[in-house]
Amino acid sequence: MLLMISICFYFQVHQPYRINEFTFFNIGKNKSYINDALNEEIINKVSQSCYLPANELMINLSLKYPNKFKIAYSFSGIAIEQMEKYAPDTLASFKTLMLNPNIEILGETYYHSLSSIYIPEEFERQAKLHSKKVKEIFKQTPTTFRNTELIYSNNTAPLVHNIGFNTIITESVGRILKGKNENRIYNDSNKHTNLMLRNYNLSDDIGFRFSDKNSKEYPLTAKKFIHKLSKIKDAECINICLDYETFGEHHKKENKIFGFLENTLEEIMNSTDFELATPKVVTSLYKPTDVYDVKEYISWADTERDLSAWLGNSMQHEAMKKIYELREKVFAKNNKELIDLWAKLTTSDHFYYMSTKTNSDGMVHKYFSPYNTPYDAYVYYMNIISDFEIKLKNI
Amino acid sequence: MAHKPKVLMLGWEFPPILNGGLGVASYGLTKALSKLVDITLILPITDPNFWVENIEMIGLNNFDIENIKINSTTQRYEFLEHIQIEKIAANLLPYQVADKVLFESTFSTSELHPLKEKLREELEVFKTNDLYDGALGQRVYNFSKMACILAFKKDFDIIHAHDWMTLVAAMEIKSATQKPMVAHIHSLEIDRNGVESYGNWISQIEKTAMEMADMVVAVSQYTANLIKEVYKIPAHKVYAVHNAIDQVPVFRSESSLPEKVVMFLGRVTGQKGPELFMDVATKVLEYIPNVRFVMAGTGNKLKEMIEMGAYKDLGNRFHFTGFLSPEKVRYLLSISDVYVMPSVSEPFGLTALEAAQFGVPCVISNQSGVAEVLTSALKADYWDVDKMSENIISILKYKGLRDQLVKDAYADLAKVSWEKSAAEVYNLYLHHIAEEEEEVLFIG
Repeated sequence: MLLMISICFYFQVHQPYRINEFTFFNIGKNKSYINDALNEEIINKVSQSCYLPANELMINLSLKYPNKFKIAYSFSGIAIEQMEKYAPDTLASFKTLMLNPNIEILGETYYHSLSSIYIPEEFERQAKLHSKKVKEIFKQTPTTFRNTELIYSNNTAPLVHNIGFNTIITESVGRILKGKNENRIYNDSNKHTNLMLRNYNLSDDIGFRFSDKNSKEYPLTAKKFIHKLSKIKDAECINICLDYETFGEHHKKENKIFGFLENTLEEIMNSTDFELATPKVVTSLYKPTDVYDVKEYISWADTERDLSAWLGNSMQHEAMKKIYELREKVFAKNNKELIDLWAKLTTSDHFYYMSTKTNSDGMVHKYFSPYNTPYDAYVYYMNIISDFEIKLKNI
Repeated sequence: MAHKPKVLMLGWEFPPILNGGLGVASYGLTKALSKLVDITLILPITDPNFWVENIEMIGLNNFDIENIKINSTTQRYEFLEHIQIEKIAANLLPYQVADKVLFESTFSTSELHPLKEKLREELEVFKTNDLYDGALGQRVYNFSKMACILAFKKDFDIIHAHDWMTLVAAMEIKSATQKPMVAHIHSLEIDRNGVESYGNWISQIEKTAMEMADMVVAVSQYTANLIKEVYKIPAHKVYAVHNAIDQVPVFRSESSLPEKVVMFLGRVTGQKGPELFMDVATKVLEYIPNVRFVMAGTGNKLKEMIEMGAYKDLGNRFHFTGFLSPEKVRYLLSISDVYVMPSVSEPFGLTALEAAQFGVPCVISNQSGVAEVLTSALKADYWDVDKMSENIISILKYKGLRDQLVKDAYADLAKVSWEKSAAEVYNLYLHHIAEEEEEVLFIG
């Protein structure tokens, strides 16, 4: 019997700790860095618009198709923390969903950082901290890794492999694939780790274009989406990777995004050509036969799908350099709270808000940013770093 | 329309006489427009050494009355019928400094048939280097008369007038010829003298003229909004066309000062917010002592500012240059680290573009038109001394920010040009002419 094509949905759940509008005049005055009120407001807003209704939908499908319903999630550690603090009902609903053993939780860095490209020890620390948190909350130990925003290069694979993961999800990038099929399993350049590639076209059909009235497929329906899946040749696994907030937050429920999600998942489960699968399942079914050779960093962000979303201008470079330079001094103080505070500042979103891109990607950056301008984002961040340096001296 | 549109342009300031942005902008726009339309430009003063190619320039200071044939039987009109001002108050100052009595007179609305002799006498007011001295009112009045007389001798499709000084003439010409009129607003009375000045005679001229105009072109959306909201001009005929800047050779100079330099450049008048600049300087110096603040320019608030500086004990960190030549301005820009424009109400703010060209990061007030163009400038409301100070400190403190602002400002500058602005004005002309022709066809 021919194998059915695996459709692997993975949903990203992440909320950063957004920082306060920290002015120069606040430096050295013990003002807190994290904007608790805003973070609480946002996680509750997103819970109402997305997490709770989407989870309900997933729980129902999980009950209706106990054996066929297989999807994957990844939670940043700081998103879990914020749910514990501000939205315990939301966390409870996720916990209920995770009772289904067919749902796989992926590993990532606790603070959703770019530590993998700066300091391997810090990356390892944040990844292990994350696995510990997932184990504690959801009673699962992740074996598949997704680095922050699917950032990856050949250098990433050994780091991830060394801490016990056997599969990495990353982006399919045309300039690297050069015509090869993204819907298959690849090896990393050392052939130690499986690589699963996000099908960006189909993922963006939902993530970016679902509500776009100028899009060719508008309005996108489950039927159209399944039809597109069936057009793909020689596929082993098709990986649809999306922010979970796509459902109800980025695309509002009025646009029938939940109906689309439900119908698509059901149609796949009822199909004879496709089945839902998680990375764990997919890598047990298929083995890599080729290498995905990524010499320069890639990611799922922006049109360039490289690091330019976080390291595209001089402000981002300076801020990033500054925070990682402080690590040694911070760890020398051997103070858990201080380390946690520092690590919260490594979250990629802080740098994402500093992007000065002006194209359509720029609009996406602006959509996510809580600040008026990228310059504000940078200045508040740098003022906090200045304050943090004073704090370090005084401890 | 078959031929190139012919534009009768009425200007006031024009190189080499420059008082502020008006002359620079009139020149930049007119020069670029001259590639698209035929222009006759009437100015109070022209310099025989300064001519723009392809533009017929008429300066009233050089004007020979003998060449004009006054035909008063067929083309009579009642001069100044649109302005019902009996007595013009003194000290309501347009662009320039106070302490000068502007104009006190009674207009007669029955004055017809200006005679050559009288005209010659009236042209005397244009033999000056200061357009804004005490005879300003008389000058505006005489300019209007002469422009009307000249208009009858010219063939044109559109009247295009820049700011209130020429709007009187534009109204007269429109009412006499029924030609469409463009009121181009570089600055409003309420920008120069505050919203409380709304209702005075200059603002009344502005309002009447804009009501009568077929199109009102503002140098920014900021100004367009004031025109719609304060002057209550119908939105459908108000357009924003941004000013631009010509590329000049830029350079950085080695500063002899060990401190960073933060500069203010502009007329030292209430509109430009010099007091705010001083408040900001005081605040910044509290935190960063190694900065020098330079206030370049002159105006009616200069004396007060110098006294205030002494009072605040800013003496050794706050400097006044008085009036600076363009060369000196460029040198100052070339050693500056931050340019600050804290204007209370700035229709555009060309100097910010000049600073950006020189690679100087800008901190500007939200109440400015240039904020719409310089997306890379750091902004604050003019009254927000804290935010303004913070912006300056951030630029001085964080190199990453400074570098990025300079880079992004170049990208902003690349998006504006006089050619682009002229093309927008040109399209407005065509659009209007097409509409008129359609109407004629419809009625016919």
